[in-house]
Amino acid sequence: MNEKKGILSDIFLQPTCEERPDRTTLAALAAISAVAMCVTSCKKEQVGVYELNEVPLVSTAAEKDKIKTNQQFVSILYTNLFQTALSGSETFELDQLFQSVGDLEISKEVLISNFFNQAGVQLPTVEEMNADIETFITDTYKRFFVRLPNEAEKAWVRNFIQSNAYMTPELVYFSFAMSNEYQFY
Amino acid sequence: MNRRSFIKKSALTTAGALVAPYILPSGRLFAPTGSRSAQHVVLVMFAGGVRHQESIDKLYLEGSQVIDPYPGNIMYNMLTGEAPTMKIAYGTGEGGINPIPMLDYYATNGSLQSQGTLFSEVRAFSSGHFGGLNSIVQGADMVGQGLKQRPLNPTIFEYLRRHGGYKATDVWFVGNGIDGSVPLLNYSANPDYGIKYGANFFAPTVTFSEIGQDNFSNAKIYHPENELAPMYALKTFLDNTFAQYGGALDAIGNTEEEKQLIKTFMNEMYTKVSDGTFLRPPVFDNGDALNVGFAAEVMKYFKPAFMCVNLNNVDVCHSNFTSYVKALHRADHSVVTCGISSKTIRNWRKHRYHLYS
Repeated sequence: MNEKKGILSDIFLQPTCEERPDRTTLAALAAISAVAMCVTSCKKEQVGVYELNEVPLVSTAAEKDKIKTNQQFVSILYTNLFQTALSGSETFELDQLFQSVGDLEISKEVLISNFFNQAGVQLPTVEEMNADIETFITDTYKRFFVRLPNEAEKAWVRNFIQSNAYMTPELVYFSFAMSNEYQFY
Repeated sequence: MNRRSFIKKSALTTAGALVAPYILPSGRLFAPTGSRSAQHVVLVMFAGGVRHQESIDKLYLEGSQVIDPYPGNIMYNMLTGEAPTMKIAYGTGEGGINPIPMLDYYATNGSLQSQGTLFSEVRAFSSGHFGGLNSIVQGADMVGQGLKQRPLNPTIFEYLRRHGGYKATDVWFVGNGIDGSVPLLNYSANPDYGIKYGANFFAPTVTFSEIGQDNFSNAKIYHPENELAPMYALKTFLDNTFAQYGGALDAIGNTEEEKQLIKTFMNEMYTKVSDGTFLRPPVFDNGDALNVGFAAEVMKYFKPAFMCVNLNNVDVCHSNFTSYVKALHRADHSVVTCGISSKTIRNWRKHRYHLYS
């Protein structure tokens, strides 16, 4: 039979009687297995706890090197001011309007001032701004620039707001929306 | 020094003396003489396939009616020549049978042609739409020029602003719309010129349309000192912070005063459009007529040194000859009407306007 062994017969070949373990060996193995099973089954299961390190998911100004298209600008601006999305048709219309005026700065200023004349702009009041100016500044940077202000920026903006009696959240938002950084992503 | 050397050196010295005064330290090519032949120049572009037959040659139906040819001048405000008296299809009313009357001013003083100079043969660099407009504003051919790309060479607007010292609101381009890359023509992609020397631009039939009324006409008015000044101051701080990362935007360069002027103009126009009181030719049943009316408003308000106006309704002959001659007839009527209808332009001889079309 061994002479006729081929590749397939190697696979399907069963062990002979001489190659089988004897009964004593099998009993010993069964006993060891039973003991091992008892030991492991009694062991308290360890529950792994996995956590992620906290990583701040905010960009920096240095990463912003692409200019927003007209459509990106108006839809992001609308979302920032109204906290809701601008429809596709309105985005398209505003893009057309922007193309029809040569000076984009003028288009943007006019559009922002029109937005501020509409109901629904999500703005803190002057009292809320002054009550917690640090939070207001941080929130404004996060809302418009998608980043946190550094200490120098916070200090300058805080002093500026506090030293200008006419400064309102609306004017602060206007400045941020018109700033160069807001034109990039 | 031998004779040959003397002549050579003398010639070089003379050439230098002739050339030097034109290269000025200010970067201007020429010193202003203060005696310009015109204080204001208007360039009107008839885009889209105006042929000699129906314009300069005044042939009307001469070439197209085999059995009964019929010539005539359908642009009689601009060009000198008798109008057709029969087979009129370019006027108003059903079938276009009522020609738009010649304006009194030109009936009295003669056509525009008789008052100026007509170049009847001009070589075109390109006969394509964007190519043709591009060639006119940059004075060069279209080699290497993409269709959705700003002119590669400096435009006339940039030359005027950089070398003539004109401010942004002195130079205007009034487009007939935003299709066909028209909004790309107000400045070039040339790195030595570009946006900071560009012209102000409106496509009025879009800017002052219904969508303009909906989105731009209700602008909030801010106090210039109490509100706008601190707003711009904060913006400047934010821009300076961002500038350290190289983030800066070039702009056309309207001063704050000019920006306010443009915004005021826009507000006035929205009111005029709403009231139906903006300047228009007597017949204004197509986009070109409206565009020329808006251009006249720009002329009246800003008194630009140079303005370019683009008309496009004549680009219909591909499918409809009657509509083409109608548009041509209206273009003639619109351009000259608005040339004399605004108060400023009514005195355009006094203001020394030159009209090129």
